[in-house]
Amino acid sequence: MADSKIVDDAPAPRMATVTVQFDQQQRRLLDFLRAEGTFGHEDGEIIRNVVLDYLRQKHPDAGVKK
Amino acid sequence: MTAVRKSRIDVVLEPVSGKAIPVMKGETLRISLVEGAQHIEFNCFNLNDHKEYMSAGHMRRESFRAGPERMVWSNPPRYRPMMKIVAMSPSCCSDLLVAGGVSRMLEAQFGIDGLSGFDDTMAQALGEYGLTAEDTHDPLNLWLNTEWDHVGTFVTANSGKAGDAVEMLALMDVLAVPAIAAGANFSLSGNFSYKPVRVEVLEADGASREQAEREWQANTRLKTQRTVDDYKLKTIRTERTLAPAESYQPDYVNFPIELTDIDVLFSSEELQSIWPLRGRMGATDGELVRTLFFHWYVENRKKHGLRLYSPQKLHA
Repeated sequence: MADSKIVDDAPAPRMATVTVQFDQQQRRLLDFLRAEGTFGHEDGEIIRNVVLDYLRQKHPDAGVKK
Repeated sequence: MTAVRKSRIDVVLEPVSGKAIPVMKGETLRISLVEGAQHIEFNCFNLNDHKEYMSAGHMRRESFRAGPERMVWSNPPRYRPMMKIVAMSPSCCSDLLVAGGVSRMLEAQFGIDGLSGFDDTMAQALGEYGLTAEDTHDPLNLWLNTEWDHVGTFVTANSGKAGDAVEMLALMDVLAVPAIAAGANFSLSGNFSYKPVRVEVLEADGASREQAEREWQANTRLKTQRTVDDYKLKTIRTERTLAPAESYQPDYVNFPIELTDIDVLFSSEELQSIWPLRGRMGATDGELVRTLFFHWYVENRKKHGLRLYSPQKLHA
């Protein structure tokens, strides 16, 4: 219809949750990175961004976007 | 080598002998070859607490050889810098793999009893300070040209030359114990002959005291640095027979380990980029993500810790 709004019909990316176990000593490293602020503030957000950064460093052909 | 300083002690060790020598903080121990190729075994104790002594194993964690700029580390839980190697002639091949050769080994290999062993020589030297053969520990080997392969270690010809020297700056008061290595007359460790070794203690001066204090401060300030006061048990056991103490309860650090589940959200595209690593770096997606996290951390944030020297510089 002529008055219909143009919508971005690109499908939202499908998301998946991976559950990772850290012990109390390992979580100290998340605290350091949280204080640094470079990779986010939530534990899951920090782990995700660090892993993606590692893949960009070591596996640039994997297609991980910046 | 160290600028000329007055020697407080200057002795020549004849085969097959050693000498326990106090070296005070800021003083420098100088060991030199008198006639050439001679393997020297070296032990070191805290002069004020003999339960703290050199840990060849922890020195070995840094390299199978010790060299200039490396520390003589003490045993955990103290793990402190006892001495710093400040000079080493290029001909000196050091070794931290080979344990002292004992007379039983030599008897088994050559069928000759009465040969002196590492423990025999070291014990005689230590006896002056009330220590016994059981107090000897794995040595730092100087002028021991070792190599290693898939089977183990082997020794090649000793490359030492007369006049070559090693110098170690004391960072604490130590009892240094250099000894002519046993079995040097039966192996390439001494090119099949014993030779004398000169040992000097160079007096401290302003610069050496300042360096010793600087190195000490730089390497003993971590929060986990343990002292005797931190020990659950502080008494040195005197009974030889071991028996459990019924009331004893261990107090393990960080016990119990507590695991926390953390949900990490990935897009399908991102997850697919990880999947090729499944099986190689983790059995489950959770293990894989944690492994990748730690690989990143080790490569991007892990500090050198106690290893303050530059490996590139050492191997240049």
